[in-house]
Amino acid sequence: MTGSGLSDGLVSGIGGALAIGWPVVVSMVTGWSIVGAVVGPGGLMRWADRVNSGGRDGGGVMLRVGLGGLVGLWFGSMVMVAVRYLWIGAGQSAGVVAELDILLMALAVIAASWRGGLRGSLLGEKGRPAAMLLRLRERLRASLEVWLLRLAVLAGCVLTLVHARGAYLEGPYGAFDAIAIWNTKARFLADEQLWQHVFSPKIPWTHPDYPLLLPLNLARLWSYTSLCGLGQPAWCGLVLGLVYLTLALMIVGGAVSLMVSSQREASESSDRRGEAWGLVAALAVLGSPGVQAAAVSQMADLPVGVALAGAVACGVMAIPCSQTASKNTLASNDRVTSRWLGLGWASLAGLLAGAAAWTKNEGLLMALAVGVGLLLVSVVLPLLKAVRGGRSVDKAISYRGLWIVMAFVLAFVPTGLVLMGIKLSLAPPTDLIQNQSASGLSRLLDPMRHLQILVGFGHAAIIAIGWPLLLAGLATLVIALRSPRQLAGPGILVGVILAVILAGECVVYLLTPHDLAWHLATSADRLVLQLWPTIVLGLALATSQGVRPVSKGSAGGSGSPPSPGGE
Amino acid sequence: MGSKVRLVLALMTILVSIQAIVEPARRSWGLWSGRSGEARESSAVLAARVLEQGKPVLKGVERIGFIAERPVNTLEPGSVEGRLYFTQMVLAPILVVPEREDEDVIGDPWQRWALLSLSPGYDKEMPGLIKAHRLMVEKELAPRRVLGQRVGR
Repeated sequence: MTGSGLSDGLVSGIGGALAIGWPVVVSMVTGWSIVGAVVGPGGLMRWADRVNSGGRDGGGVMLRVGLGGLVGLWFGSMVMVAVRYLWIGAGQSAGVVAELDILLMALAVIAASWRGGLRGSLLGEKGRPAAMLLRLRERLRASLEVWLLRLAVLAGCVLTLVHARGAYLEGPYGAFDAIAIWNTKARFLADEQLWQHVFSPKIPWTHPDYPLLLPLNLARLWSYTSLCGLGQPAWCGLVLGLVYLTLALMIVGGAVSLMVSSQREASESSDRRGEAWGLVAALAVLGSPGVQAAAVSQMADLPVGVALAGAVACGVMAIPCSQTASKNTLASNDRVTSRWLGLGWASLAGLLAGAAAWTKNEGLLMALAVGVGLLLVSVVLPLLKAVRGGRSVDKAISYRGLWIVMAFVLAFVPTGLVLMGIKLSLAPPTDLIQNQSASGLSRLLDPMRHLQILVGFGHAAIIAIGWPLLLAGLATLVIALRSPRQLAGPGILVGVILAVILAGECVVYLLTPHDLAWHLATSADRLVLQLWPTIVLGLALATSQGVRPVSKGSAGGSGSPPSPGGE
Repeated sequence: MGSKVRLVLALMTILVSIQAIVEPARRSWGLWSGRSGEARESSAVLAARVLEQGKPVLKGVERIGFIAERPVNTLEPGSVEGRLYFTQMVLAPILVVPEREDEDVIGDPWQRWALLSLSPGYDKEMPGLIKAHRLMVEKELAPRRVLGQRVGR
């Protein structure tokens, strides 16, 4: 390579990194601030910080960054929807997208600042830079086991990057569905004149009815690269896939770490224990063959799976807040704060469930499952318990639980409206409904189809999860089931959500108008992969004894809500 | 937590850690070794060779997946499978021209737009392939130099 070629390549590389780095950072800051405004270290989280004796665990930061990333990408897609639907900035939409992004980020930061002070909302409650450095140095001191786990995560991430590079050289536009569906949609959406043809029934292989979060975000990235004169490079899709993989590791690892360390009185050993559990959970996600394939395939399966895991993590956080708020041992001030905190987590769960539905059609089923799980755990089960204890229904019903469910539903509504608008006005019906015939009921009751689906899912689990992780997961499940009380709270919630999703997917397979063997062979492994981050989350929480406190004497002992980023 | 449970958890931790390193390494190695020798030849070169010689590139077909599992000559022009096959053939880094001329697919301006819409990225990365795309579209995909007749027969 000549000197000028090298410098041109360097300039182009730096330009590309800036062009794609800027929108990703903007999304992250926007999402981080929104999470901070809803359940962040200022305002609502002061209560949690106090009962957690400081919330020293770094899992909170990871979780907040992960959730913030998902929320930011949701907002990014909505900015694109607004620009396209409302014809904002026609002729110069790329610049308008960038301006709207900055406006949204500024509003989010202001909202977070209003809640807890600018420094608190951006850096954490005790976020003085000097103190942060000191804590970072403290955190780097760890046992050999934790260091080995950290190194394993690092090695896995580096090797994943090598894998991603190889996959990119093999196929710059990803796997089959990425080419035929997601990247093609993004190309249409990136064009301000022709974007509506993304719904054209003349290109049925793109599934015009599919939701658009992923292609809208890719089109958004392309609007930035276009502004920088780089056109619409293929590597944007790969970068987006790797961003989602990072968010998956942060959400699953961060949530497990935070909740394990918050179940005991804060101490260095509980922090380390939480970190170790979080790292193992992250490794379990990283090592899955399905996740590895999905991260570089540029398809929507990992994004929808990450959104589900984020919604479930928020749901798990919402429930202890709700239950704690009803304890008479708390001062009334704390009860009020805890109640609002529960509503905040439930709102985030609703938003992320909406993100799942806005990513793939099966995300609608996931959103329904999270709603059903929250209803069951926060309203129905407490009601049954109280009635069994001799209380009347009207006195036993948990209105706080109902508020949790309501907050979840309300946060889902904006996505639901956008989805409904597109599905009813622009997109043709999905092929699974359009091609239904009267023989649906007979297919539903055919025992051979049930057996075929069972075998298909077993085979898919081996492909998507792999034997080593499958064995580890089964062993973990056995350990969790040895002590059923460990399954209380988060275990039940995650179990109900997964059961509803699997049941719904089985019904779809039973009713499918396509050849069942073909349908299972081409999709079941991806469905399992979508659930894997949530399965890891549930297994880790159940095995690590959930969120129950060790000390019941303290006010915050009863399932105190953890603090994301509450350092 | 008993000592046996701790032991099992420790073993699982080791297993999970090894898997998280082995899986991406295995995939990277697979991709690297898959491009060794003749198969390592760039897609653009392969595409150009197909155009020049009119010979099939069987290695490409083997990599294509479920579509390739079905004999190409059983795909109906205009059917979903046929269009998927066609899309894959045109957009995948390996160039394979379908057996029959399919006016229904090619003649539709939106479908052509969709196919071409993915091309710009190839301009920089695979100049040979974009040239191949253009040639194909210009000639409306004449059905002769083809793999379709040979796959599945």
